[in-house]
Amino acid sequence: MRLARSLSFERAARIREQERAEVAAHLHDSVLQTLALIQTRSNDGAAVATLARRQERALRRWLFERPDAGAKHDTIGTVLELAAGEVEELHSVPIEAVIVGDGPLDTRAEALVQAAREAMTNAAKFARSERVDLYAEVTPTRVVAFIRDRGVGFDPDAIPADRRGLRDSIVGRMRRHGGRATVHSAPGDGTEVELTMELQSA
Amino acid sequence: MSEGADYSDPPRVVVVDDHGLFRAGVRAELGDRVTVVADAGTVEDAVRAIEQTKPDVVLLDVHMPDGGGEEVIRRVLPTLPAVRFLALSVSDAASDVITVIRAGARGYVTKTISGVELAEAIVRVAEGDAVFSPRLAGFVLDAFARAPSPGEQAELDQLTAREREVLQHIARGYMYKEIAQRLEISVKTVEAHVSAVLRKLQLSSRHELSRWAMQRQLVSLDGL
Repeated sequence: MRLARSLSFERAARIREQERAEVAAHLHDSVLQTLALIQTRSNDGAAVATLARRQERALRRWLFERPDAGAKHDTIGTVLELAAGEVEELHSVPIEAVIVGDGPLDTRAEALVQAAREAMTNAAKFARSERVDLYAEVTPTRVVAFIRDRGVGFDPDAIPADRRGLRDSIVGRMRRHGGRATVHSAPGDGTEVELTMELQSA
Repeated sequence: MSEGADYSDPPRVVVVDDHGLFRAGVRAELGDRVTVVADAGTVEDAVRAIEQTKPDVVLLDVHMPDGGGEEVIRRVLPTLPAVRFLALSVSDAASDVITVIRAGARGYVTKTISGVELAEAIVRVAEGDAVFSPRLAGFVLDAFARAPSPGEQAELDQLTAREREVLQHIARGYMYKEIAQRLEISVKTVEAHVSAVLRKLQLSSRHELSRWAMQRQLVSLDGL
């Protein structure tokens, strides 16, 4: 009886030790590396902010991600968040992603994710906004996404010919896959791109 | 219940966070837009400081040793019901956030918020409003997404179409004033919808909410 108890204590202690070692290893590879980088680049404010945001995103994913997410198959939610993270890193503009619901990624949803990525890229590159908001709602039959900035805005009827992104990569792409894109914008008033895609019911 | 507090004066605030650096940072960021009357780094110190200073608002870290923000609310609210709590966190686990809201916090903002926005949120909470960040709006929409199971009270366990619409706009990054314009209602009505959602969050018996509230966080940040 006593032996059994001490064995189970020992086992619990061993598991705790393994967990601790795993956490330590993860922190070493991620957070400590980032902190070291931040120290060497402390006079470059933009770089420090980007490093901190990226590390925050990675650590949060590690701490809170549902264990089955990402590993087995991509879902609409994980791919959208990934896209937001990549655009944020590329252009150093914070993107607040809020995603409600989730579902498997099919061709149509994939098209919406790519259009959303393009809209986020546009906002980050051209809008001169301090941050970009992405909100997406996924139901079994439909995905709706809103990409919003508080930047300079523009007249959607007078898009310069070289801004192919909006016409081809957003509006055109959504239409080709049976969805639609609406752009609400006015000079000085920011921009919101609304993407809607009906999904084939599984 | 507000004891005739005069809101032309900046609200009196207690900052509770177990990171000293963060408390100092918040004090500096807030400047003279609010009056920080005390700060505390542990649950015990926080309860004592709040009881002594009776602030308008407690800015409360969700994650702290010894039970976190939830414990502070549970110990203070019964004796000082006029004190209002605004939760502040870097954590995005829905369970943590929903737990402090259900314990009685009147809002949730993330630590990346700017000093000006944080001061505004504190003033609004002091005035009795609920403050939802886009992320909290997302959590709530998620929690109320499914239809309630039999046995749950439909009224408390479901959002109205209008409440849903208001939350969706918050999640999209719109401010109350903009939401009012878009939905052609008054700002007061927007606030009323958000307060109604807060009440439902606190009173609802929805399985998603109870489950979250019961299940303590899986990874404790205390030791990090």
